[in-house]
Amino acid sequence: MQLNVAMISEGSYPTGKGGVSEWCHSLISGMNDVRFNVFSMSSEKGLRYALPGNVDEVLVEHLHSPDFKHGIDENYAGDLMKELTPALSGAPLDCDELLRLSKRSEFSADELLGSDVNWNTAIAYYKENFDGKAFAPFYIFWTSLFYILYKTLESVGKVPMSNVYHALNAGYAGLLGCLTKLKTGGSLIVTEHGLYFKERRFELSNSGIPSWLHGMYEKFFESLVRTSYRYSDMVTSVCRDHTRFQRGIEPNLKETRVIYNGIDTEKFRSNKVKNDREHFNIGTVTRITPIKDILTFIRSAKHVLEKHDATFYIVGGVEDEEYFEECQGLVEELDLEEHVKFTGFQDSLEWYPKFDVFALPSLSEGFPLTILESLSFGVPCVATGVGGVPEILGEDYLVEKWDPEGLASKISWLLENPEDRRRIGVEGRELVESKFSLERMISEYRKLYEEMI
Amino acid sequence: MTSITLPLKKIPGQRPRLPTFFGGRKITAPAVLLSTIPFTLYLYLRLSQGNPLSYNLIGLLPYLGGFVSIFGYIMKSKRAMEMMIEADLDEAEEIFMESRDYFRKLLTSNIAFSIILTAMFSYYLITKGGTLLFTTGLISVASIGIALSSILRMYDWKSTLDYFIIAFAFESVFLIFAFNGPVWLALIFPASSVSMMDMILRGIKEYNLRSLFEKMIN
Repeated sequence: MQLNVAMISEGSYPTGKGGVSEWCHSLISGMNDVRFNVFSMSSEKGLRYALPGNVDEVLVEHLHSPDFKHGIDENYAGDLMKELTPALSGAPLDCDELLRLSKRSEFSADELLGSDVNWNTAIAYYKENFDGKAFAPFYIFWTSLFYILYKTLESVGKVPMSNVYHALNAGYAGLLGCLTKLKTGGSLIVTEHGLYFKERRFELSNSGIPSWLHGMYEKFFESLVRTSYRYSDMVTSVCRDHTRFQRGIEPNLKETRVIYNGIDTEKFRSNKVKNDREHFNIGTVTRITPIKDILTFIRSAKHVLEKHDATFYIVGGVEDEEYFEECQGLVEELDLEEHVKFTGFQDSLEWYPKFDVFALPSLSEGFPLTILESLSFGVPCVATGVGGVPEILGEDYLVEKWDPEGLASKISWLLENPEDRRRIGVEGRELVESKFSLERMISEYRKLYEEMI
Repeated sequence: MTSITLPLKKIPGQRPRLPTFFGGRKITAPAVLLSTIPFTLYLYLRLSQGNPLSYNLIGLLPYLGGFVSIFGYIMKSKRAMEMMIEADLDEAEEIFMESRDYFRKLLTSNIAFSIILTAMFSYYLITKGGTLLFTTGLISVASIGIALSSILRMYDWKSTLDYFIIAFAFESVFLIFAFNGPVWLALIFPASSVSMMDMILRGIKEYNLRSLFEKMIN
């Protein structure tokens, strides 16, 4: 039987750049004999990757500003809404019933959004939970959540037919995977890189959304995540830490497996031997967004520079313009313009070999490829002990979140001990070759795909 | 992963770019009215033939009333929408009813005003044969009607542009009638602008709080 896999993504491959997209691209490129389809829900239209030859079909469901259309059969909309409202209490959705209903009639997300049922349900929920609070933020918020939920339902028949569906995260992509799997009789794998639920919670804390709406948001995504976990045949995680969380949130989760991320160790190799020197380069490779806590990286620079001459490089594109401005403001405030450089989006391959130490102060991570990449280049790393990071780095190289002094202290120690720095670099390279290679990761996913058909 | 979970630009916590009360851009109605001025001035200067500063200037006075009405609408609309963002559901309903009532009165008074002015200019044409005052008066009245009816346009540029095209076509045809006669045919234009305003007045009856929020988000 020909193995045929449909990747279902949400805001990542192939319209966005970042860790998940790179991972997906490597996985597809590394399995030449497997045919792939890609279905992506994204606010971006253009493809950011040249697709490998084994990709048959790519469909992007573009998420634009919603349009409220009227005229849907209100009884039908009511039946659908009845099945969707558990999302507001955090309970998993009944995908069998949702699928049965979605087959009953044609509908569009815009029609559901413009239905009397949508408005009346929103009003009833508002009166029950938020009476007396500002209505406009509530309704805008309601629309932003339900619009994509409706879009997900609308997309069920659009995912290219395959025998394995692989959702790149829980949430909307996971829910679409569940419904598609039930509709076509295939199998579903959900891979969690970061924990979707925790990421949404973090997103919330940085969004400026009024705090009284936070509970609704959390419950909504808890529901989507639990649904994804409950209906998938396998939930894979990139580290053990995530598996514990997944079982905690959805007791009916069928099966989990940890498959560590891997990288192409030949591509991430440098023959350049760093000489001892007076000036050091400290770097991080990351998207500029609050979850990566660039501010702590910048603050740590101030402490390191008290003892060492160094330049701090932040290599990566800006995802959050407001946060970028905040970072630039901090650089000015600390008078670090000469020592902290934002390179913008660049080929990271050219940057790792220049670094003496790599730092990753993220507030949340899955299993960061950037750490593996820097280790593969023999560059020692210091990072926050979040997600799967402790499963790569030893205790000595971990720091607490929001701790610029701790980060600076570990960086300084590495700078002051060139012999240890070199030794750690060599050990890091060996670790990546033995445990975190791309070949190993691809072979584990291939095995998993084969088990699924 | 780039988030798709907060896709709306107008998310709570961020100040949304507010449309006017009926969902359009603040700039549309004044811009439509301004865009008609060259047509009116051309008509006026061409017909006044060397004597522009005469009593015929009265024909342009309705423009003043038009700008005052539109400015009033924008200011009232801005205040209403700002209050709407902070209001709970009951307060929002109150603000909505009060504002809708204001706009209904504004349009009704403009319809009445247009009918009275059209009658006056027509009377002047019949009794004194004042062609210039008649045509400039009518084009002013008709232009205000078009501009006021544009307040129901949507926020997007395509919809705004559509209205400019309507206004340009309307004014051009008016000029053709005014120059090639018979001049009384120009009465069609204030009549149709009054009927456009009346149609919008009927539309406003069906406009409710839900429609307002849908337009705000859209």
